[in-house]
Amino acid sequence: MTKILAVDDSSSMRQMVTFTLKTAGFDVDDAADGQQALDKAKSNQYDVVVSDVNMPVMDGITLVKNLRNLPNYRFTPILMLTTESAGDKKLEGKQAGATGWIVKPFNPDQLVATVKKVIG
Amino acid sequence: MSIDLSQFHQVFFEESFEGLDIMEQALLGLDPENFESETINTIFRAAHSIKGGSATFKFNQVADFTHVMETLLDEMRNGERPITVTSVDLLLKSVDVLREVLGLLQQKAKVDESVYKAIFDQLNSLIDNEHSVANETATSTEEVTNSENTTATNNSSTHWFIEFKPQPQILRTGNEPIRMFRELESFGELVCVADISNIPTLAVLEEDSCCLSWRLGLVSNVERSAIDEVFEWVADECELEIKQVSKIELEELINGTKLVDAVDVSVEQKESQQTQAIEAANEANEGNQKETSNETNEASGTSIQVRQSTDVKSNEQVATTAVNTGGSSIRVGIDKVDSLINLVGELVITQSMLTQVSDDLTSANIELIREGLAQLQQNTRELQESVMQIRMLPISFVFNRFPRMVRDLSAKLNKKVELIIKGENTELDKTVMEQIGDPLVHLVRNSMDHGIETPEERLSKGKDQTGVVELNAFHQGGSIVIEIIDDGAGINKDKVKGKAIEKGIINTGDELSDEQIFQLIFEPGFSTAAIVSDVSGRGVGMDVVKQNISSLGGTVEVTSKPDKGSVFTIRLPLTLAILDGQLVRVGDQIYIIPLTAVVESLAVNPKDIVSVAGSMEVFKLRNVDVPILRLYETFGIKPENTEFDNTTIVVVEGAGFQMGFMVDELLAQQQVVIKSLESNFVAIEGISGATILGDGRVALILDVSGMQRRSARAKYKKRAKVA
Amino acid sequence: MSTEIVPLKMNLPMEIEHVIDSSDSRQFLSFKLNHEYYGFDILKVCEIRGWQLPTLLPNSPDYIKGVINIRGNIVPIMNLREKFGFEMKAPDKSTVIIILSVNEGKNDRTMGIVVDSVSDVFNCNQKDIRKAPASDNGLDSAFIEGLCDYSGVTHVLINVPELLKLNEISEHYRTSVNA
Repeated sequence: MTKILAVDDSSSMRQMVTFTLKTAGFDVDDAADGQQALDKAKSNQYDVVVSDVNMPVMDGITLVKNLRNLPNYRFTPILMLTTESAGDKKLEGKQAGATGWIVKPFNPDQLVATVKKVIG
Repeated sequence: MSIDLSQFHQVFFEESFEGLDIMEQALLGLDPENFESETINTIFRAAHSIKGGSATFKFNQVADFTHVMETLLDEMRNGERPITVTSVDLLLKSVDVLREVLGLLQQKAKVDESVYKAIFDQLNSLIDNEHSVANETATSTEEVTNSENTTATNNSSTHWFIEFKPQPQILRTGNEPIRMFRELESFGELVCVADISNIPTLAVLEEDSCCLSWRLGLVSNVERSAIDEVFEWVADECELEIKQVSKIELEELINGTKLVDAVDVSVEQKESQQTQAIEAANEANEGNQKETSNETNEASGTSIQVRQSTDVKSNEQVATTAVNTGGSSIRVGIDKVDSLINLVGELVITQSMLTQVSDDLTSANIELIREGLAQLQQNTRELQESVMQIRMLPISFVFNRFPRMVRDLSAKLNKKVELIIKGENTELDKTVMEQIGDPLVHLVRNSMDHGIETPEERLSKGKDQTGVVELNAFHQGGSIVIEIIDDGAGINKDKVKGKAIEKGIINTGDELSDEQIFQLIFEPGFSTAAIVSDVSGRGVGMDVVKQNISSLGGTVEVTSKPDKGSVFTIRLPLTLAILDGQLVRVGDQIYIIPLTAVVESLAVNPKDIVSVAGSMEVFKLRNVDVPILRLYETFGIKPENTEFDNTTIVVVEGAGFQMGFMVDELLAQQQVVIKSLESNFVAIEGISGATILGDGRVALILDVSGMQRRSARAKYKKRAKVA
Repeated sequence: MSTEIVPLKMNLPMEIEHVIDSSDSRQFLSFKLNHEYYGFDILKVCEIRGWQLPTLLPNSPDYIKGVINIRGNIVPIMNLREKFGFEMKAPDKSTVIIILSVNEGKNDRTMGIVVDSVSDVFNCNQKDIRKAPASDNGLDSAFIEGLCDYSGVTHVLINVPELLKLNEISEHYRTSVNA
């Protein structure tokens, strides 16, 4: 089963994303900040990572950079959840190695569709 | 699939309120001259979170409002905007507005624009002064674009030619051309031809770089934007050409030279070459790869096959979703905790029942049963303690609202006040904490309003013009003590005494200790403020404060020194549900007196009893006059004994003074579970609750300060009659 | 011709199961007090218990006899004879306590009512409930929902929420404690 890591410091968003993806049939783990996510990514292998940008301890951009340095995550699709309207955050994300982004607010169906897009 | 998002609303509200508290605290601590960027970031993140959540859960008013706050904060953290007292104040007001709006939404009430419009406009004008509103429109168009249906239909089919030349590093961002093509395929008919001219030799080939480019032909009725969107993520790392062509042009373009002819076979081969290269390189790395299903588009005759190895994780690993990371916390529904507490309560009752049964045994097993019971008692206590711990929260949750309150109030009163908070990590029961907030607010307001003098007055007294109000919390015995200390004018004893006489609470000739005089301010109807000030006197009153504290099983006392200040001391029990009690018998009724209130129990010699003013019986206990209350009389019970020779006096201490309860017999001391009388009945003054004894009978628990109040009133009434 | 209504022989305590039925028919628990017959809406009856001596509540109105323990809940006991102003009677084998409950917001509040005996549960259509004439029995008419006949005997149907109201009791405490 496809395994997804959902990262967001907002509890309600985390719950919503986890629930949505689980309902869609995926296996989902979650983390509340970049550091937690990185630790989990090291001990489990995820097929997709979905992460917020603004988080305490370690933000999303740094998380992407760190993930890309792990051999097992060089090609893993990493999607950023962003409300940033300005293009520079998206660019920053891409430059850090993110695969793409999902703009908040999104509805559950959009989330699932986008995730399905990247798992192929 | 449609998911009902309302199940996440409650969590969203809770975390948003927490976020607002964090924002408020951080904003209060923000000094424009000297601030830490982490503070601004914290405030930004909190606003950002609320914005994201509110937009997702369709609370659009909140989303729009927080978006503006976020813009402001973003500029501040980027250094684009200076941090000023004005903007901080505005943000603080915004926090208030959001609290109100979220509160209304949580109750499913309609939010009228008037609630937030004023502040919203102020926020907007602050931003507009320096920046255009371009950002906002960009957001909306972005969002609109992304929520557009990617398969927008258009009646006529169009032929699209797409040339896609990705940069080599495209794979390193996890983007896979195959996925994009698959998506295109879903729009209609796709023909795909790869250009392998740039593939280097195997020796030079880097497994993670993409050296292919493609020409694609798409026949579909989707909008151009849908196609753009497929390549949206990689738009900046490729050469992309999308143009609408005629059918014939498309065929030519696809069949151009340099391309391998047979479409399907060639694609398959090139894809698998690339895959093999990657596989070879990744084997050494034990790379994780997914297994994807094959898709065949029969219409175009193209089949894109990718063979990848599968790395299947075992079920055990999958199952460990909840990884315990030590310091993490869980939210526990309070009803779960309450039912746990009820269970513990039942255990306590069972245990005391067993104890009672064992008293009658005569067999040799008695020792074993005793040991077993001792063990059970130990287990129960430990279980009880750890369960209580779940309900315990640091008092900082309540103390946190005071910096803001003191700041606002000192401005309003034109006084300078510094707030010192100590012991904010002291823990207490959640319910107690929820209810102690209002009394604390009133006491702090009172200290600031009536205690702390104006700066001029303070200076004339030789004090620092800034007054100090201190909130201090600590554990003492089985209680939590909260002190509210101010260095103001103190309480005027004579004024208080005079007012009490005026109100008929005491009589002119009454001898009262200083403590007793100060305690008078808690009497109902007592307010020395000539004009009930809007700040602290709005019908609330010290008596209500005392009542609230009493209803939590606590006490409040005050001491004061003229011009030095006052100290209000609140004592609260650490737990609300279980009590150590002294069982006593009056007639055929059993009552429980909280052990924390018992000073000592003794038989009093009738000769030592003095009758005072014809109505009150008093005896001296180590130089203190202790009035006696004949419980049978107070409760209207038929007593067994009425003489002092055959009765026991239990000396108790309540709100500042001691009293002796006359009982027929002193029984055991035991732990009892407190059951509310009010769930099915009314509150009775002097009775704090009930409990169920080992034999199933109900016993009432006495509230010492309540009994003292009753007796005091009866005493004064008696006196009034005599006089 | 009326059939004699016999006090119910049952194993106490007995819990009452409520079966919600959408018809117009209501059900009442028939009980006897001071030689007359009354009814409680069965939906408000939780259980029937035998008589037990309650723990006294100090300074309570005289029709409140005290409280008893029902599975961990502290339930006040009201003596209906005294409440209605009839003469006192010592409890005997037939005396039962009927546990009633009313819904108040989030919670249910219960109270036990001491009556002389209980018998059946009977049906009565809403339309067959007639208004009681004023000052019937001398009871405060607020407590009476109406009259209904069962087995040829007139039953006075009691308005349970009204009976269970606490304001009179609160008032009693407020004034007596200050006395």
